[in-house]
Amino acid sequence: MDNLSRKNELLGEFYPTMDRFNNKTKVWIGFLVLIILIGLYALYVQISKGHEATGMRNNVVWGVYIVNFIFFVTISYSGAFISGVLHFYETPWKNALSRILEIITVLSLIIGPVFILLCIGRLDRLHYLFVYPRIQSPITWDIIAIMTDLIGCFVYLYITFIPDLALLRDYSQENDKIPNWRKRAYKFFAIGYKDTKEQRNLLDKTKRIMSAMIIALAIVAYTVLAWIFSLTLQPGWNSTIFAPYFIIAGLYSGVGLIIICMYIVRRFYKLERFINERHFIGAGVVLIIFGILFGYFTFSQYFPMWFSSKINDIDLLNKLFSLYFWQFVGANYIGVFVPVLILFFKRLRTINFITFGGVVAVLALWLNRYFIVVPTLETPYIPIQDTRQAYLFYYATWVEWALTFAGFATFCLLFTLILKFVPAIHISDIIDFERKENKAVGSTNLKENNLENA
Amino acid sequence: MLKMKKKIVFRFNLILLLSLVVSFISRTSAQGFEDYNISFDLTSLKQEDNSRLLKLEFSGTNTNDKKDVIAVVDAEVSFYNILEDQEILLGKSKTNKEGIISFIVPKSQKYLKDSDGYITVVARFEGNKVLDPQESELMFKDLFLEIVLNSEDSIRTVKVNAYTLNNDGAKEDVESLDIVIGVKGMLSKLVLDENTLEGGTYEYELPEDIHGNSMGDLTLFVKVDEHADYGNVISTTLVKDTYAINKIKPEKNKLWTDAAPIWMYVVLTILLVGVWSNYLYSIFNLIKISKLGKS
Repeated sequence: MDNLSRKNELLGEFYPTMDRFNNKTKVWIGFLVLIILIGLYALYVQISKGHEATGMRNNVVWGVYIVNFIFFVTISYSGAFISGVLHFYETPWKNALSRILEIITVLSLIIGPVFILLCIGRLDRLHYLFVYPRIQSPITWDIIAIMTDLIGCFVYLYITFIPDLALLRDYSQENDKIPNWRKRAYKFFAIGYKDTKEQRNLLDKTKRIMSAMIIALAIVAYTVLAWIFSLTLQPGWNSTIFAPYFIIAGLYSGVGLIIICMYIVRRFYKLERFINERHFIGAGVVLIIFGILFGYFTFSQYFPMWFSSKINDIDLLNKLFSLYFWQFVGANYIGVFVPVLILFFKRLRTINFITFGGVVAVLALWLNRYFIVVPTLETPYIPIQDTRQAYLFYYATWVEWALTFAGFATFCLLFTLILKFVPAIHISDIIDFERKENKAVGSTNLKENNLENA
Repeated sequence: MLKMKKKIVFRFNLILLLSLVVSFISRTSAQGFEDYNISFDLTSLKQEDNSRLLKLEFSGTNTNDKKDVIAVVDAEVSFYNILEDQEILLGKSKTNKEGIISFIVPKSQKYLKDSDGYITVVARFEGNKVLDPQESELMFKDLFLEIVLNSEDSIRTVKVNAYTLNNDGAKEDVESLDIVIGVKGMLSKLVLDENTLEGGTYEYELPEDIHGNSMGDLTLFVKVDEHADYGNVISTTLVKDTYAINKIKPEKNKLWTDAAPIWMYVVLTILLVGVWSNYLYSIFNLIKISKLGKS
């Protein structure tokens, strides 16, 4: 089969899934829009009443918003990191995963920082961060890192989209049923890419440079995010291993989310042929490695705290192992052991079980972030005088939960909509892969023939 | 006959249903504080300007979960100064969202005192459908604390005088009193000395390393905590200390100055230039790809 007919075959298979808005999709989108609308109402309540509408008070100044911020941003970094590695080393099974990874990366990086804005009491002074930046402040570093990373991720995502957009442009020109706005959009975004040798080489070179950049940026941005906490003297935060701990924790939750997205995309778009058990087991092996590393780092974080017996550290540990016992155990024990055990036994290495392991990892890591932020703030060094009793503990209000769910709903909605514009799998990469394989087979046959002739 | 019977059964059922709903509503509303231990605490603090802050905290703590503390909101509480049968209404106020009332009695208030000079203040909540009436009482003597700072040969001494006023308005020195001396910071108070004042006066030598802020302001305080006779009393005085203004030299390029250490600018510039040059190179390549497509 030649390239052109293979392209048409793949597009003929993928395009209907992008174009179709069946009842299930409509109900799904309607449900997400409803959650977002409730979130918008909560936002209105928060803006009109101020932070009084949240559970954040003088002592515990951060709550679920910052947890969501860390959660989304680290997921984005892990998506970028894994995608960068897959592209840089041209891993064969990148074709099945990289589109999902790239979308997760960009969407998380768009949604995550919105949560930090919700933490700010005086949004009218937000521009002061740019007008009067303090280069010494980790917050400034984080702003610079996130903005640089966001732009980099956009460029990277776009570069990886170009070959597929060009295929869709060509396909849509020949197909009268495709609406004109789609045709125009594909044409505009494909920037005249025709898959010539020169263009392909140039694009591959750019992709490799950007994938290397993305890996480096993800590590820098992860580290800076961890420094927001570890450069303070707060109990539980002032730790030398916080940056690598954040990187490992982020990668662990990131792989978990990738597995969940793979499962949903596979089921929803009927991509069983492209995303198969091999991919899940591969992702599962990565999950088990990061799970074990996460467990090791968690132990290394808390064991010295307990052993050194500093008063405030012990206060924090007492709080974690009394007031938050079950949640803490859920985050740091069950969240590690369940995915690791699932993948340890060969019989359990099925798509459903691996996805369950991914769900456990994601939920555990969200809780883990909660226990990094909130209990520490509930255990301050200086007991600030005249503090009201109610300010010593943090409880998220319905406003915070509504905005949290709205954030997750926005992520799902945008994910759904993007997959209505581009295919869930890199079609061009599949063709490239097959082209290279055919070439390799061809050259092997030629060599064998030559040997036989000789 | 059958119609009549049906009607009666219907009415009976309706009444039963209504009474069930009413009893459920009344039960749920009355159950609001059933599992909670109610606390109705009145405390008093004589403030720096000799006014008195009466602070009332009205809340309920779940007997099964001590973390579950709910505030009694919007409850009207009356404050009285009482002496035997006489009652003077000091004022009324409602609890806020945290179940707290901070009621300030001005320094001009004339209190009823007993023969020993004790003032009795009562906070009273009349009760409602959900909560029983509550009352909390405080007894205290009006204590006056004075702070004087003396400087001699660079030795600074804080002198504290403590006295009460008898019924004729004459000063009476306090015989013995546990006091705390310190300085006020931006967030909290730094305690310097805790000692017992004898014969109405106490002197304390201020350490050499205690200085005012960048404006030269140093706020000294002396306080009495939860004394059986005087309750909580705090007195402050603002003194000028020019040490901070004269001695502190401006620093440059430190973590805490306006301008950051030079190496930070260098590292940040290298990083940003490195990253952005790659972005620009990638964008330049995209333009090149676009041009190749056109040709």
